Amino acid sequence: MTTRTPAPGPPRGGPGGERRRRGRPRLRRPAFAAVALGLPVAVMLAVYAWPVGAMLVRSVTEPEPGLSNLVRAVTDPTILHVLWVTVRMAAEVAVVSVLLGFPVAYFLATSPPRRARVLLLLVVIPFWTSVLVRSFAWIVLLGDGGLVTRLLHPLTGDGRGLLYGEGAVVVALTHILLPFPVLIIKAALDRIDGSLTRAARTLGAGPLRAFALVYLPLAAPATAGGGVLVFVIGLGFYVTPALVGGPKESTIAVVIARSVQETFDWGMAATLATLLLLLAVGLALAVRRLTAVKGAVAP
Amino acid sequence: MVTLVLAFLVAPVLIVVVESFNGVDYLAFPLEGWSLRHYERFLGDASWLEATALSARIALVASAVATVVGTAAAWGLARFAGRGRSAAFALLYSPIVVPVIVLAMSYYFLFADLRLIGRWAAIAVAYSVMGVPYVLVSVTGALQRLDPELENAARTLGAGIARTLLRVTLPQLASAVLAGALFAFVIAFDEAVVILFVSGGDSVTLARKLWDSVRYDLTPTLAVAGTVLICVCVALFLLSEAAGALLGRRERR
Repeated sequence: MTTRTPAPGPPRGGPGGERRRRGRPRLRRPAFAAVALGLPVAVMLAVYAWPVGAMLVRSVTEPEPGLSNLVRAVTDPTILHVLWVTVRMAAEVAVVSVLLGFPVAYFLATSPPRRARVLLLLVVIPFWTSVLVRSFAWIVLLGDGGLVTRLLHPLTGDGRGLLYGEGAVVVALTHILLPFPVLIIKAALDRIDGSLTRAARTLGAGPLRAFALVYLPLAAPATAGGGVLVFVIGLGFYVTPALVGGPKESTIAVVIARSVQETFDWGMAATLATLLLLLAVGLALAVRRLTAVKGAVAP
Repeated sequence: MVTLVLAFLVAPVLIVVVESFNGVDYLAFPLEGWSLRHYERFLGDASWLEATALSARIALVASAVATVVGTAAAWGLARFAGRGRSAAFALLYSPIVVPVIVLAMSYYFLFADLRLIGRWAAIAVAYSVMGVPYVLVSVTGALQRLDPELENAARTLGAGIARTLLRVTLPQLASAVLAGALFAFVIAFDEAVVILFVSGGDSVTLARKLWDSVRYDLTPTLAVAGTVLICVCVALFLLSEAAGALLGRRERR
């Protein structure tokens, strides 16, 4: 399923009115379908919607009813700084991921199928590897005396690693999220009709012009969608900033965790979580619009 | 350029595997000698083994629940046309969109209220929520390729609804259900955020133990645990690809 990207929209189809009129309804007994759908919905309401909803409510009830948490969140300079750092790092990761991901997706989409399948494994295997393990790998690579640190030694002139800095977080997060844009963009490029660029060439456009004016516009929505998706996931990321970043790289998620576990400022934690959730859901809806049919989000 | 990016993707994963064969007691790369001593340490340490077993148990339960819920929901969505269908879809699909830290907090508060912190079964249920969207997407894709007339034919020929689903519909969905189940398993097996909030010291999964170890001691034994995680996940991925290819061939017949 990793190489397929199914639709995120509700599946089409359902009892056709015409068919029902034609013959006796057989399996399409609405009651049974309603039960098949209703039970999972009930389960999800109980073990998912309820806890998340209750958590959201805390943002306006704790420590006292009202919007005091929200007011504090948007006026406290420390929290505003955290929001800014989070957005900035997520944006950096999104831009770098798209810049690196597009060429790979293009290469995979234009390779012969057999080679593309093998190369795709190189994208998918890291994707299936634990985020924790991949963050750990970057601690080894970027630490003092780590491989990257040593390779960069002639450039930086000192033996200090990049670890516990913004650079480390951006590199590690890019590594972790890069498979998303690659897979999404590749899925879109696979559907582009190659005869369109050939037609442009036949009509006299140079290869660059055909690429820029015909191919790129067709690839643009998925590319933007991939970038926004990386941005959204990056905004809420906890493990990597917490392990690879220093105190200056505290993201919203890191501050949320600290508020819950260390300072017991549950109302503020819930408020930040609410903001994060609204942002994520809003941007996810935007991605869905950008990528129209395909289920960008599903790996 | 493409080669460099692909190397950037794969190299860190390989480095963890290589590091696990380290010959010294501190993290060093390139390696200073090869040895299996950290594997001996891992296998001789009951706490690592228990953590691995606990992760597997939680992931199995989470995957089973997610598979049942997700598959039923996918079939229901495909056959139900009444009101509330889009709302139901949004509910079932949304865990994929919700930041994990938000879920982690939500379950922390819920479990704290219900005194469920550290209970492995409760953790498994929370993880199953994260797996549902993947099963749903996978099975929905397969249902769209399925000819609904087959179900009608079975019904016309006298099969009851349960029998039709079990003998006609499910076999054709097998590879999609399996792919979803494996993905749900992997998600639960290496989940590393929710567990930090709800493990409570009693339910130390492999990911939880890895996290503590990365934070506080950074020994090469970590690399062994990381290698175990990598191997399990990659093996399951290859299994799902192989099963998909095999079952897909059978389904097409």
